[in-house]
Amino acid sequence: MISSAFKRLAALHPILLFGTGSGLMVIAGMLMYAHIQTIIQVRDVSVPIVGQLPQMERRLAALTQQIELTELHSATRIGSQQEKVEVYALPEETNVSRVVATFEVIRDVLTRDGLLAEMSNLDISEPVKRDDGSTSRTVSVEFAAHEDGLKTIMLLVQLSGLLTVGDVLTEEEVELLVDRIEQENPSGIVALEQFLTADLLRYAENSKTYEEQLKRSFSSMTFLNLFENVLRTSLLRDVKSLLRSDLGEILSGYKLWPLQLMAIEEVSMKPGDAPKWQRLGLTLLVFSEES
Amino acid sequence: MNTQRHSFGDIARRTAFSFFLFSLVLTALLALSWYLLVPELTRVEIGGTVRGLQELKAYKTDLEGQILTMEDQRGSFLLPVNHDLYERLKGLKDERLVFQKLRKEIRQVIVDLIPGRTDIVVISGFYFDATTNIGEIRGEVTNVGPRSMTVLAQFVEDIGAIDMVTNVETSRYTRQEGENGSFYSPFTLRISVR
Repeated sequence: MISSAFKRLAALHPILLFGTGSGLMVIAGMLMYAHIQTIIQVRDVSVPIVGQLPQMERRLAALTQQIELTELHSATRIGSQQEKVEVYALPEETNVSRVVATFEVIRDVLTRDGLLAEMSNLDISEPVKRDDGSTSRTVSVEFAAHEDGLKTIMLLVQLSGLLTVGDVLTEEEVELLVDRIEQENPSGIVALEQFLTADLLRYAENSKTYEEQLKRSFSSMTFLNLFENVLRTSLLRDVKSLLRSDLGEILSGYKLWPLQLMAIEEVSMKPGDAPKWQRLGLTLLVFSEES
Repeated sequence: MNTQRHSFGDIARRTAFSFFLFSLVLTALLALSWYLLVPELTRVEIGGTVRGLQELKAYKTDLEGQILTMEDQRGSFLLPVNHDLYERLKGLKDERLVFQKLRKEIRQVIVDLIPGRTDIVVISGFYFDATTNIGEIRGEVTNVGPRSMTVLAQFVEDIGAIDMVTNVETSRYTRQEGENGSFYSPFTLRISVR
């Protein structure tokens, strides 16, 4: 039966056989190409993916666990932080007397410390609506101050509107801590969350307690060294020294802390009348939320 | 000796079937390999689930997406102020503090200009417009004798080499003589910052 089928096929016209054979060869070529591509993909894609997947799955499991833990704790905090932003950092209207009082405190404390010789009048503009949905007033002021006094003034501008420890740390610094926690003890994220959401003033008043609380969740020296490094190199160090100083205490005593969010518009500096003294001209934008 | 000559038609008739048969067998074997062998060899078992090549790629993309979403979610819990405008304005405030870094870099350039000498570049004014990120410094190069213009050119070059500086426009290079016979080169530099 097979031989008769062969004979029937062999009897077909050669052109038909060549044509069909060529068609089959084209299909065979395509299949070979597909095989080669598959082998290349296995080498270049599949093998590396197989190496990465277990790690990614572990990461996903750790993240899921962290989110479950942080969700529980953050639910109670979001409301209060939001309220602080709306009351202090970005109020509906700029409280001009609060802004003036802040600068008065700066002048009095720095003058008493011998770091400020003179502060000009404050020039505060009418509110202007901005494209981003905020409203701003410009505040212009000039100081004749020692370099240390200038540093304090600029630090206050830098810290304006910041409420928590997390606000002061940069994204990179937070990322470093989170990465380390993921590798060492994913459930330690709760302790980190508590640290990052700590009120800046309370942290400055009692930084050791907050820091120890986080350190207790980790035993390895790698994390502790990294954490110490972040504390030492980040803005937190300056925050602690500023808020623990007389200036910080008076600002918090007069309920002027947290400061309303401010940004630099223009700066001018000229040498002062004595070495290390400068004349600083500042134009600041004080933001409020358009109602 | 029999030297029978075959026409092209004869050759074609005799080889056509063999060619057809070869192509058929080759294609059939490759098709069998493609549908039966290749899937079997390229499947991988991960976490108890067997996945093919395409499924692996899709699974990886899916995992990456989930990780990104969860990282965002975790970030929002870690920094629990959910206020877009506040976040944007905080970013704006940080960007506008760039002049502090510029001042620090300029100071370093002055220190490094001629090692051991910090009395060469005297800055008489610094101005920075944070909305345009353009700064202006005025001053003079002094205490280097008749080389003040050369030192000024070096100073401008060093300022231009600072990473964050995108452009430096200089006033004309000039050398002036002071009352006591000393030379100095006054300058005004307009510095654009990234």
